[in-house]
Amino acid sequence: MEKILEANKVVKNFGALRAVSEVDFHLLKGEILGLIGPNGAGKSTLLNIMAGIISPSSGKIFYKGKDVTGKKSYSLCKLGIVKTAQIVQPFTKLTLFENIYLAAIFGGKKNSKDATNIANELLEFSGLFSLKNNLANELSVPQRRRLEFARALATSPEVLLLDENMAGLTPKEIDDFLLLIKKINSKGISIIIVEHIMRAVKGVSHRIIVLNYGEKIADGEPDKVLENEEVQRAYFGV
Amino acid sequence: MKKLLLILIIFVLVASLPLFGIDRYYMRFFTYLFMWIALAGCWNISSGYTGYIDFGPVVYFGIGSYSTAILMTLLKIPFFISIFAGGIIALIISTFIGLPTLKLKGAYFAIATFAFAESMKQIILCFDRTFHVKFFMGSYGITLPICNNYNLFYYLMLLIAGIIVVITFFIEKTRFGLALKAINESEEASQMIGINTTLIKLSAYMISAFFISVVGGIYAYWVTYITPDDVFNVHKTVQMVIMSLIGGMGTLIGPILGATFLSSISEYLGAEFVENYLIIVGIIVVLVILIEPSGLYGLKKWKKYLKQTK
Amino acid sequence: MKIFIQTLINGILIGGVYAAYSAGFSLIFGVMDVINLAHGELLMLGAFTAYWLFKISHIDPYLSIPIAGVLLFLLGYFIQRFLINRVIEKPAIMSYILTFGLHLIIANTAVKLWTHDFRSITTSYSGANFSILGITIPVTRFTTFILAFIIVGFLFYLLEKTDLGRAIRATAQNKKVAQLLGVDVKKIYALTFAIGAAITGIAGASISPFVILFPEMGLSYTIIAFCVVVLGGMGYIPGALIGGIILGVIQALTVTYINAGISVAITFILLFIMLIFKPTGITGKGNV
Repeated sequence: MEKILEANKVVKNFGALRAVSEVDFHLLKGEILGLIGPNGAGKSTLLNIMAGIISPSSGKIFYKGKDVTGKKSYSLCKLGIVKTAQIVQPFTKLTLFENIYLAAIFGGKKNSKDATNIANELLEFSGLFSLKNNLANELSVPQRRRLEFARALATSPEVLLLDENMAGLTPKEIDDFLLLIKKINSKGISIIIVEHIMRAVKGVSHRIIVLNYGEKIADGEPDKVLENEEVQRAYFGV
Repeated sequence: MKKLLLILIIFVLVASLPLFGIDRYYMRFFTYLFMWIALAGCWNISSGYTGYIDFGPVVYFGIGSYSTAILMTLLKIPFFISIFAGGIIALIISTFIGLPTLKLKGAYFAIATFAFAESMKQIILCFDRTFHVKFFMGSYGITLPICNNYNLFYYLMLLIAGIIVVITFFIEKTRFGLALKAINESEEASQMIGINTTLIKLSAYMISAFFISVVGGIYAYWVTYITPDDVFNVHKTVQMVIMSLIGGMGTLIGPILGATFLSSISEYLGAEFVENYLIIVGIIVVLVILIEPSGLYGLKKWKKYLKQTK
Repeated sequence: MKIFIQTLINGILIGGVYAAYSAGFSLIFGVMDVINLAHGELLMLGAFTAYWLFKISHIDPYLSIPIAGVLLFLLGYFIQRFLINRVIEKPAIMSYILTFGLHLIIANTAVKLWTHDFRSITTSYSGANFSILGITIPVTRFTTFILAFIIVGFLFYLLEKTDLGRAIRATAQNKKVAQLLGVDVKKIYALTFAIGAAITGIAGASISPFVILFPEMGLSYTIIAFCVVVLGGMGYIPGALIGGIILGVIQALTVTYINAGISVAITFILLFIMLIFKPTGITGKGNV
């Protein structure tokens, strides 16, 4: 199994604060990797670095074996790495169709005809087809989340980075979302999922890594990791 | 499509006016009007859609004017080649200026572009004196060869205005326009779906710079005498911004509406009382911002609302 | 050598003057993220308050300072409360366009009322200088220079040591949290703008003895305030002093050793370069 994404001794400092400290990890092709840790552990920062939204203070990132350290988010997106935002940001003055079409054209590098087809397919897939010509600001919050997801998928990613997309969902919605993730993964997309909801992460990840105070403290199978003493201490202070 | 047809009809009507023998006074008014439609339209392309406010577009007007003036007077290069060369010069300069400034946050971009424009004006004013040459002629200004062909300038300005409208139309229809609108809402989200926002902003900026420069070149030949205080004047920037704003930023007909509206008011108020005009413009600007930020273009949704409540 | 030192001192003095009327601009930007393009007009009104009081009632300009302060405080409060407040939640560009509209209205109404004529105030001490070690120091500029320190000191005291100041700083840092803690954000904004306007009005009154007064004078002062504040760091009050003095010295040196026209060009080029390479200012403490 090849490593599709790899981080080598990644460090991120914000002034005097060391948010991410010499983190090494990798994502295997076709894998779903859970990234967990207490609040402020550096999970979002790490994910933002992998997505090219912020650049690391030091360390290297490899995608499919090539060094992509320091590349911006739009470059990485075109190469196949896309992240969904923690706080959903649809383009409110554009229609749903235009939102997704735009992502397919730029991130997915598709021509107009293919982008139109992809946009329509994803609208169907997300159950938003009937609203395709509505402006994005007319959507409810769960609908916006689905749009955000569809938009990310429109860029034809090989790696999908999910940043706490399940906050505020009901248990049923969480289950639906987990099914969705498994479905996408079955199509060959590798996924890193950052989440607080333990059963969700356990239920869907092939492997879990744990961050605490910016350092990786565990890396392995979900059950083993969650039983790990250091992990328990980090979460429960026990 | 209907919109474009309407504009086309008006365009043809207006183009045929001189053939019916209109008064020189009106020809002058219309030539100015077309110039402002073009200028406001250019500003709309670079700033109207993205909402990323450029406060220095007049610099390219001045660059175009001075390039044309110098090429025509010192090197005796024909008019049409000179204005085109001026456009190319603006294109090159806008690349060098655009790249670093377009990365700045909104407020800083506005100030930086303004600072660049004022720098250019000051440089041209004191260049000759500082380096002991006779090139830009400082505050003495440059006098171009005389050209009395009013028809030429009428049609040239009309042509450029038309080109800008067509370009804007195509921008609105294509992915470029969508990307500009997306950048307006969130530059970060746009980048996350693969849009190289700096490149997109730069493209719009460069297109705008080219045409503003060409208009500046035409203006120089038309008015025959240019000074830095005239062609690098911040009031021209102000006009471009306000016309676009009042008519409706980020729309096809916004600049046309705004330019027509303000030109008419200023004509009506007459040249002696420029303060009255500026006070009224100031009041309109304040009202537009407070009540209807989409400008005159936004009024059409009030029409719909009124119809519904009846 | 003497010329160099005199130039330096001139530059420092004029820098102080710049700082005096830029501090208000920095305060407003730092707290509310509003670039007040009508800033120069507030200054102009302060200066004209002093002028008319002098012309009509023969009141010494320095005595008009408090009057200018109060008038501009009220005007500033009104402008913020009823106009700017309405767009404060919206994209920032709307506030600059709004203040720009105000600039047009105020400057041109002033022209209509008072004509384009240049005016000046001549008092018994107008041309007075004093000398230290052979260096000439004009009294009026020196007074404004001292005033700059008083203003910055006052703002510093206000913001760091008073409850109102704490509320202002809290609001500047995190509006939502401040609201949750019971701060009336709208009122804080109105007060901040009013204080900024008052300070600017006071600076205007204090420069009235030694500058040429005319209704459109505002714009060039707004531009200088920009430069000063970007140099020193937007929103960082002590930066106004640093930025002002740096700008003043650079200008004085170029005027003395090259020519006057170039000093204006250099001002703008400097502003442009700062924005590209160090938008947080020389001190690095500006809000970006």
